[in-house]
Amino acid sequence: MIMIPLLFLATASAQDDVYQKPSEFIGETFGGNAPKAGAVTLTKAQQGEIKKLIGRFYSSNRVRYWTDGKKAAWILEEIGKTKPITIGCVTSAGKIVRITVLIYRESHGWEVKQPFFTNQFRNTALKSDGKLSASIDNIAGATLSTRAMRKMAKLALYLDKQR
Amino acid sequence: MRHVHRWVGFVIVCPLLIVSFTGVLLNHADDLSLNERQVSSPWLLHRYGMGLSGEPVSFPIGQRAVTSWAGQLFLNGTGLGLTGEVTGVTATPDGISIVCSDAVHLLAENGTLLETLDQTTLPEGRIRRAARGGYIQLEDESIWQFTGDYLECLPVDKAAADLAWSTSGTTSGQLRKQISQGYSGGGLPWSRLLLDIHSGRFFGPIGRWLVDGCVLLLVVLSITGLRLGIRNYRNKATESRGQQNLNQSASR
Repeated sequence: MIMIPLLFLATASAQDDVYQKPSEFIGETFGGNAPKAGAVTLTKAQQGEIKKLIGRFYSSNRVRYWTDGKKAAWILEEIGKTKPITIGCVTSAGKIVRITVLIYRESHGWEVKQPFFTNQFRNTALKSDGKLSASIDNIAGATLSTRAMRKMAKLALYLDKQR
Repeated sequence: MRHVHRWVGFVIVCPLLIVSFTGVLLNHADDLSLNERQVSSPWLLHRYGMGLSGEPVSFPIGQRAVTSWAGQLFLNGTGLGLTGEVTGVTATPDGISIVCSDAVHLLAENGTLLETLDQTTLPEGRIRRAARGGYIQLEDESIWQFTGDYLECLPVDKAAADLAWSTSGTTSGQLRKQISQGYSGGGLPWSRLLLDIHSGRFFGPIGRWLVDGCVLLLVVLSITGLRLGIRNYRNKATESRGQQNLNQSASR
């Protein structure tokens, strides 16, 4: 059931706050020239591990990424309270290089797009117990959005290991 | 008084039975799982705005069919939980691609979603139609083709007439019925339906006033019943006293 709204989001609606188009994020990450995309096809076992990390199976069984051989860019989505948040995440060598909110659809909790929050994820890795190596401070009034951001950071790091 | 009492009773007997019956059911909503059980009647769902409006459009793919109805997508009558305006359906190495005007949904053979391709992969512009071999045509007439793994979509120099475009077919009555019965929108629990019948909201704006009117009539019925009861009691008491007096006089 959780998957249904997630699948709804291929295109941003007029009410969405689009801070950066996903295609622009990819272009910016690779200096204007988006490299060829690759994809991680998730097996049942991998979906099971993802469920342990984020509390649910990922909405699709294939996750696309763009890589120049060193760093990889991911476009991921997770429900904040009722609507999905689209983020762009750049990973390299098992660590987060940067994480950016691309499209925000909720009425509250937009503060998670602010650099003071997203900068906390820099150089964060995924520990063997499924937790992030750095402690990420919450934002009052945006608890669900910060939780969603943490989940997506974990997912990006997990996927980075699978590519 | 008796006349009023009788007619008021006749008027409210049906509404009173409905209100009483739904009230009893609602009182045991948890025991009867009325909050979990969903109404499946297409007519009722449509009444609650949860039905499918408009006409379905089906695209055959092998022995199966992808149907788009009111923006919802169905594979062989089963909801996919996907939305979009379908422009074509083609086979892929892994299953099916449902090409919508602004997204492409890639499904595995068993119907599970592999990936939804969006603006990060698709060319700019709305998709007009799709053809076998991973071809799409945009509204600006340009033709593009997906790579075999569907990771990229590249422009190709191909004549539209040379391609086998996916076309929509008719939606059989059986498929329509299957979709209508299976689709429940956001879901309608029985408790909600019973509550609406109980309060009269189900019957529209006038329904609430009718229930209010019935309640007032019930008050009238109670008062007239009470007064008739008292009058009967008094009459019987008078009769009884009269009978006693008669009996006493006779015994003397």
